[in-house]
Amino acid sequence: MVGESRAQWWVKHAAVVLVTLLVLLPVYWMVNMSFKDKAEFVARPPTLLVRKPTLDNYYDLLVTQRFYQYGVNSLVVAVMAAVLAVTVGTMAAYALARFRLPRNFNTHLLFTALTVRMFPPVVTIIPIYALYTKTWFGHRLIDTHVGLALVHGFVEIPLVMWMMIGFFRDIPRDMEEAALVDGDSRLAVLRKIAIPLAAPGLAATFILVFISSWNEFLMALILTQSKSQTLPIAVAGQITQYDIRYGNMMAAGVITTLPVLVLALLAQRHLTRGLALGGVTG
Amino acid sequence: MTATQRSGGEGVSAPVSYRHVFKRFGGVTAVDDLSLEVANGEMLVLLGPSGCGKTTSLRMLAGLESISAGEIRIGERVVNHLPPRSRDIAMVFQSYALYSHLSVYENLAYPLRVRKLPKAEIDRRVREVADVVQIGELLERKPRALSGGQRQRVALGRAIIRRPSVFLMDEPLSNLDAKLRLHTRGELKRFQRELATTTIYVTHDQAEAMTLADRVAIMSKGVLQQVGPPKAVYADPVNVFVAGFLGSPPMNLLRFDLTQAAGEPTLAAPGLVAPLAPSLARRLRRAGHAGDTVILGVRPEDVELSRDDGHGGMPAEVFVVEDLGNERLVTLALGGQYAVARVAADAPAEMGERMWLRFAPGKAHLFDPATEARIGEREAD
Amino acid sequence: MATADPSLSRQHLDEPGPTAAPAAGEGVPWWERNLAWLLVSPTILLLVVFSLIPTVMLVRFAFSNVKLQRGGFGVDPTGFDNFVRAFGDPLVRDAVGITLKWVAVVTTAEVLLGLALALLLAGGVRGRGVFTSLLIIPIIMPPVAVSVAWLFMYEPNFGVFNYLLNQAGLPSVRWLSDKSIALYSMMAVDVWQATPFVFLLLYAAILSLPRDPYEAAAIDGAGRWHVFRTVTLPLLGPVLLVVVLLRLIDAARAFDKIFVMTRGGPGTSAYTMTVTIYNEAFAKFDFGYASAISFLFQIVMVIVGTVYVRRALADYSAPAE
Repeated sequence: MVGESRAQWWVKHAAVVLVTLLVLLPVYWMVNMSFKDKAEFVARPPTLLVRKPTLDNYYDLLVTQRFYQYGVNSLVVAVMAAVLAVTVGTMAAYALARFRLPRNFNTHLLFTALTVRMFPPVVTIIPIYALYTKTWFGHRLIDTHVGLALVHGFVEIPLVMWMMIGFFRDIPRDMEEAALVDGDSRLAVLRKIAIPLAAPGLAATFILVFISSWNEFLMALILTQSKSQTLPIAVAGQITQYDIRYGNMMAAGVITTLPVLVLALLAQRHLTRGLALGGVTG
Repeated sequence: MTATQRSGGEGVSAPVSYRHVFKRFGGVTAVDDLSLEVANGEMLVLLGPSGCGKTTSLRMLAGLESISAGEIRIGERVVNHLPPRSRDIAMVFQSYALYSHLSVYENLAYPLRVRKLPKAEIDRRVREVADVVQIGELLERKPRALSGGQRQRVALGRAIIRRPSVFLMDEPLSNLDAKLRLHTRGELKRFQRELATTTIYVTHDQAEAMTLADRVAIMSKGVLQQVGPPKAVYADPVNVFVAGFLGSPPMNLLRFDLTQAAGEPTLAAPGLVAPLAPSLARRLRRAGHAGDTVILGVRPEDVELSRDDGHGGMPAEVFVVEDLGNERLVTLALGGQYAVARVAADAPAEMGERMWLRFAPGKAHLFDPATEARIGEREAD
Repeated sequence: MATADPSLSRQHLDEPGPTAAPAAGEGVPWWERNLAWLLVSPTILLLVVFSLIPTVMLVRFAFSNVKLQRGGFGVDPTGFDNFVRAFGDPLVRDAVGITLKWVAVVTTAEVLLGLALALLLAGGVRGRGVFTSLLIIPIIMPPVAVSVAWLFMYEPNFGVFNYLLNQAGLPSVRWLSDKSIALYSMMAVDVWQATPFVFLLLYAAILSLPRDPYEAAAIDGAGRWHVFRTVTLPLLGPVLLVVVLLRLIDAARAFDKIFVMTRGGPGTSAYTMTVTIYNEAFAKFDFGYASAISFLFQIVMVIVGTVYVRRALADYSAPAE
């Protein structure tokens, strides 16, 4: 800004420091507490930095309580959901970015998909639960990885369409036309030109869908039980017990956050575009 | 058409023909009844201002744009409904459209890989073409690491490696700087002669058209105006548009009333009366020109200037004088209009001075202001 | 962090996209001629299976008594009974009130804080790259982890908040077990998680605003407040509207943090619409009644959602042929 005074500079930077502290405090506190043993956990005053770091909480959670299996469930579901959403959504995005379908279908489809994404999941989950508890061809989708991955993938197809339409439109039209003239079919152009050029965006989109599935709570709560329960549901399950083991919960919070954080940093550059659709919160 | 042609895209050059071709976008007619025959091995330049339909015409031939009506043939085949890959063409784009994620080598190899040629054959031809367009040492680079001129060469190489039956070029030089453009223009002409392959070249630059073309086709507002060898079109433009589009500076187009003074046919404009040369009067009469106005066209190089009126010219005031070193451009105000004369560098002319403008009647062009079409044929006086 | 304008309407969708002529005619296999339809068909199929069919089922459930039985749901039509019951149910009335309160407080706080922060930092800040990276943490953090972290800070006996209060000589607060406080405690958690989100979107939008109007205003000698009202706000308007609508929609379906921290309690004091529907369906197994409430909730959300998407897609156009 023009003509900034010294005082304004200080206010601005003080605000940054304050907000940073506020944002980090709960996260720091969780990490800090997760390494404390039982005695230090309840110590007064609380130790700002853990004195005797221990991995007991993590060991108890992962090994004794076998929490890793929920992590595996979450991982399997999130990967399947991301593969589904990215594959289906990218196909649709390419069609919408490069072809004009009759009767303004391009706009209608995008509009419908985005509107559906804005619906509260609790509404459609009741009929989906009904569909999932029914037996289809000798199988039930309730409490299966595939079942949860299908809905997780489905709800993020609009996000993928939204992101990928943008990435595809960034590719020069000439380049795809040159490939057509050089002898490719439309599908070969998608495979050999559009997809490789949109690869960084594709990866970022994959990560966003992965995070969204990994974090999702309501649908996982309803559609999974013992066999395919995901990490968030297992963590929440700890709280209902009479003896709330806070140390374990802190460790569980850290374990649940860590993969998402690493992935988010990788996809950071494309995050704002995804955020504009409500991105990964939900 | 031979068997090898179909399988490997080893095209033998083929003629191209547009027959009553139309292209409509919604309610807009972008190409209006285009009929054009391009001979085998010929370099035809489609010339016109932006939006005149030249690029659309080229894209219809490429199969990148559908054809609203009419017929396009490559050789004997009607290609209207063939996808681009079945038309045996190669195209150089204005942006070059190099595959930015592939190396120069892979860019060149792309059309051959699509056609599943054997690896050894691909390698041999990539190196051969790289030599021809002089990018042999750049094969491992990615397009973004190349200069504009190098990219242009890769684009050209990617087109000629196919040995197609027709080359399509869409303003291939317009992204180069002026000096490189002149150099590449010359090279392009040599390549085309050596390959002896039918080439359709789109440009808005009339100098490019004049230097490259065997024949030039001039378009305006979707309509083909005139086709012919550059010299012929330059010498005898069929209408005001072509006359004004070709040449730099363009032809002077002066509008006059046709009157009689003392029984002699006379040209009149505000503040100006000049006798009409008998040969021009005869030309008007023979063509049966009925209107009482006429557009007189004279190229700047055909205008003579003198400080005295001894030769019966038109009086004019020198408006501005521009020295180009080897020649001068003198802009004159006469009869409420302007005309440019291209004269020798040492020819006398001062701003504000009164001078007399003259031209040989045989060098003059006549156009009908109502239709903008040429009136009569020029004849040597 | 990308500094591109994050509003939906500005992102690459405003220019008509390129398209080549459709491949047609002989020598083109049927699948290539219909490639566009083939590419969108999986999306359409999934929309039908996971949205259209469930919506039809939901309407049917809403007018029925639905019982869980062997091999699926038993559906027994009951007309408008569920709706009559819903309109007289104090729990539903409370849920509407609680949800509205939640949406109003949370959205207002997040947008005002986010906007203030964005405006404050728009002039450029040292280490803004690090700052924006740190702000991503709450945004992407699993809600269950957020809940767990705050749950412990809210802990009445050895949580950090009560420790600080006691140090200052103040009495402890029952952050999550006092009916009059719990909802607000949980709102604070949502504000903590979503304000960075609002900030990032608005900050990116402000950075991509044109400079000229500001220079013109500076030359005219306009004051800061005046510049904000006459230049920034109108320019930012469309983005701001999109962000507000997005937060409204998101806040209206608040569930996970509330469910994890108090199960909607204490009592029913934090029963939002989603918590209420969840309880009717999956705690009381009254699927018909839950569907009826869902249906009413859905109608409201469809309206807000449609307005949002219309706004967001204001400038979208399909590829020109």
